[in-house]
Amino acid sequence: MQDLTATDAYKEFKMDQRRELGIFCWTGTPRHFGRSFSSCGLLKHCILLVSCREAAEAAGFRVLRMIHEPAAALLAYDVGQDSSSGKSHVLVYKLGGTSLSVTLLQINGGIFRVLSTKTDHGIGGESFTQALAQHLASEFKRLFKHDVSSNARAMLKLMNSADMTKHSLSSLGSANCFVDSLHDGIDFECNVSRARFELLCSSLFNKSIQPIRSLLEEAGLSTSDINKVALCGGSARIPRLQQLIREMFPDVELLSSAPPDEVIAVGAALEAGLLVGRDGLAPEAESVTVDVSAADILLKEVDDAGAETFTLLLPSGTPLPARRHHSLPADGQLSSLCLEIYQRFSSERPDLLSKMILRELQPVQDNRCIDAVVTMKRDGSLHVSCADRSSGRSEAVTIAAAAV
Amino acid sequence: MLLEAKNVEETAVLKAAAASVLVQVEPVGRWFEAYIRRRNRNVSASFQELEDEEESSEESEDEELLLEEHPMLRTLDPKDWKNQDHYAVLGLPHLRYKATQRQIKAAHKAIVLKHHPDKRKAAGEQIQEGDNDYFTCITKAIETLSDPTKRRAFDSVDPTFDNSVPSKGEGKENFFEVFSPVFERNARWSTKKSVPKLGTPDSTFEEVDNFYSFWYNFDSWREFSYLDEEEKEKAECRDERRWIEKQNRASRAQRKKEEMNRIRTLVDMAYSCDPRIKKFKEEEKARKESEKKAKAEAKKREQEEKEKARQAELEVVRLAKEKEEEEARQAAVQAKKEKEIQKKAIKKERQKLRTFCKNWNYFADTEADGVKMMEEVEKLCERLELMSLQTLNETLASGSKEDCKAAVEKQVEEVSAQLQREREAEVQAMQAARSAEQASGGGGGGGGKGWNEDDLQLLIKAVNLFPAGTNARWEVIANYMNLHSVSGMKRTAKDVINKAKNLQRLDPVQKDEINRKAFEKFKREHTSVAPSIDNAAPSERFDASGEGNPAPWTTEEQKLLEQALKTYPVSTPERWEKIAAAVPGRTKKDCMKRYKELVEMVKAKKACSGTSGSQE
Repeated sequence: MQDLTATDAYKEFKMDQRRELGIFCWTGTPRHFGRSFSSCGLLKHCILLVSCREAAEAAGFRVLRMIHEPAAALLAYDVGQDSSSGKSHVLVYKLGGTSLSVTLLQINGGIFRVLSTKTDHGIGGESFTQALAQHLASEFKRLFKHDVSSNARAMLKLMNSADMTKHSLSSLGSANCFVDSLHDGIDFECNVSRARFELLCSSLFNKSIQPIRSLLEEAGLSTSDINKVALCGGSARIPRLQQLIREMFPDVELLSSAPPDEVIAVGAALEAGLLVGRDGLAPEAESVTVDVSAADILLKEVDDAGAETFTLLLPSGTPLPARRHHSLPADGQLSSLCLEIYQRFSSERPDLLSKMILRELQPVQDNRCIDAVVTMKRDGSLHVSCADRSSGRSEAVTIAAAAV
Repeated sequence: MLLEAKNVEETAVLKAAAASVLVQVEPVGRWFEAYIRRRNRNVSASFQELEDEEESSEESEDEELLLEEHPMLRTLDPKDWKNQDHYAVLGLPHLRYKATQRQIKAAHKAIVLKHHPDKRKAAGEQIQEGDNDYFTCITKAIETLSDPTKRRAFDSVDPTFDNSVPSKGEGKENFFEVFSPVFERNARWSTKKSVPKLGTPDSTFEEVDNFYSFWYNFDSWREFSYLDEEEKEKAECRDERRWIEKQNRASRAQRKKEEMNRIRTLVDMAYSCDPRIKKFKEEEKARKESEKKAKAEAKKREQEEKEKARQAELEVVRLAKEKEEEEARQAAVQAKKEKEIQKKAIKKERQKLRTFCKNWNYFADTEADGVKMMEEVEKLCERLELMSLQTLNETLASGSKEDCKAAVEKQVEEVSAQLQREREAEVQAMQAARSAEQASGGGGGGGGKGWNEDDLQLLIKAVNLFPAGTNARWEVIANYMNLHSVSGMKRTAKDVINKAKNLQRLDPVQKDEINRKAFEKFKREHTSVAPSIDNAAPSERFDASGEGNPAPWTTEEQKLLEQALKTYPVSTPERWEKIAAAVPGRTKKDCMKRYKELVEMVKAKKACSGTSGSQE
């Protein structure tokens, strides 16, 4: 049944598409879709990035690839796309009409990886509308002594009106709610302030924020480990919600510049743009596995105070093969240098892997600069070479990978 | 800041790095695409670097771009641009369809710099007005070649392309030299980029198969719009344009068809000439044949083995039989010998007895006694066994005359008693046989073999059914009897023949009786079914009609009545009086009654036959 619904939806979408030119984006989240779908099509090529492949193909679309919503949202904000180096954690918070999903992603080498995800179908934009409608109904009862909660028709009218009011409250401090002939020919008008709305929905807000904490706990990360938070889904517009999230992540960039209900579609369109020029696009597995490094590769250094510190050369989870170039400063007066390469699993003590010694260096006035290139092959074997920039003296080691 | 090295330290590897792990990632973003592409190409250089490399190589090509000036460029007629070689005009005759867009652009730029009317005007050349200048040709050339569709159309009808298909004779001799360049030439029309090569004489079956299946399903991009005779743009009205379009379409389709035919012919030709196909076919044939042969051989071997086994068995049987025969023969010879010896001995003993008796003058006083005794002695000689003769002779030899006489007489008495007994036994046996014969012949039902009436009946029937001269007559009769007899007794041909002979010997009275009994039995058996049929029988009819009438109708009377009924039709006055007069001894009333009965009977009969007919 659900497939059928999705197919119908796509058919409708395709008809729309014929009418309009250019890029066309559409997103919808039918109730109970495990991985809801968002899609985008260019007029001629019919590119789709959806979760429900069968339904889309039944409607006559050519499905290029299936992607997850959070990944699409990050793509729309161009997260991690500018440079391939670096590692960061991003949280995607999506509050749709009927569902809430929070996803934690790791970005390493420009490639996204879902660490964990949490979905709650019990909360969504409709819950807020419902709460507001209930408030309006009680207000009506207080004013006109009529209980409308048993009148389905009136409740529907009230819901529509509440929905509009809710939308207005996202940008205005207060909104007027007006329903023509709500019950027994009585018109209903009521002014709702944003504070009132926030008060009504405070328990809902708590409920919507709670999954973030449990998700972080599950992944073993703290709020400070998160580099970015992306908001999507129409209900992410609610100012109070944004405020709550900002409070939770005080020094984290909140990505909410794009209209949140379009973000996923924009991301899908970007991905489609990447794919559409390709010929011989092989049908790929829905999620691809890649080799990544298992441990952080570190270099022992001393800071200005003389204490030992570790510099990250290659973070764990980097897609392999990987190559990283580092310029390392050294005291120009030293005639010999030692580079100690360590590896460290998540929270253990670092293990010494190798030592590299540079000797007979000519003393220089300023700080010496050492170029170090770290290369890791797909099996995990590591090659480190370093060279003194001024004298050209170099040293290299190859560290074999342990057998799995 | 880096650490200072201690004096003793050396560059060293102390531990192995952790192996990589596999994780699932989201298939999004350009870095992912780059990663996958890199992995698929199996190159370690980054995607970006690779692209840069490609571009730089293209650029280097441009630098080497060689332009060959068209020798007749200045004399070209701009009106005849359709027939010009656009590549030659741009100075790229050596590259042709292989020229990249970049090269074409560069060539155009170079040629424009040289031949633009403004330049030439500056050089003091005479320029023809408007479109008549040869520079128009250059413009047309770049127009055609820079547009992919137009360029494809022009490439499709490239005048330098060799459309020829090698003949069978050439192909047969050196297949690879002849066909390889032809296929390479035609491969440029393929919409698919990777075209399988013709290969070498050592190509595998898969390769060759792949090659031919590719070429038999060849998908060509070649099209012939360049050769359109009329130009759509020239048409003055919509109808004319449509007509032109139709014409063009038809001619394009025609040419396309010809092109497909050409390819088809080429591939057919190659296929028929290909020594590899021949080889594969032969191999296949040889394989099949060898399989067949192996099968046949296996069968043959099996048969031979069977035959051998059978022969061996027969041999064993034969040997055993021979041995048996040999033994039997030996035994027979032995027996014969023994018999002969015995015979001789008995002869000797007899002779002895005779001589003894003779010596003793047959223990008789008178001549007559002597003769009688001689007879007795001869009888003894004949009757007595070897042993008893010997004992007798011994007693005779040892004993006195009286003893001898007594012994001989005793023997004689014994022998005569024996003879008497034998005779009696014989008589008895004869009597018994006679009585048995009597019993089996006369009893009819009480014979030893239990011949009852039914069986006798059946036997007679069988004997009549299978007359003398039938093949294996008595066996057949016995079988027949066994098959039809109700008594369940099994009879052999011998039994049957004996009984039949017995029956023949019997007196006719008995036979009659048997027959009569048989008839009675038949009647008894069939009375339950008979009446319905009997009703229709004429003899019964008389009885039935006669039942109520004291005087039943005889046949003569019946005939007379029928005659009378015919002679006097219904319309005759006083009909029944006349009929009665025609039938003597019958009154008018009798006749009418009889007539009514007859009518009823006929009706009944008709109804009966009707129902039986419907039943059938």
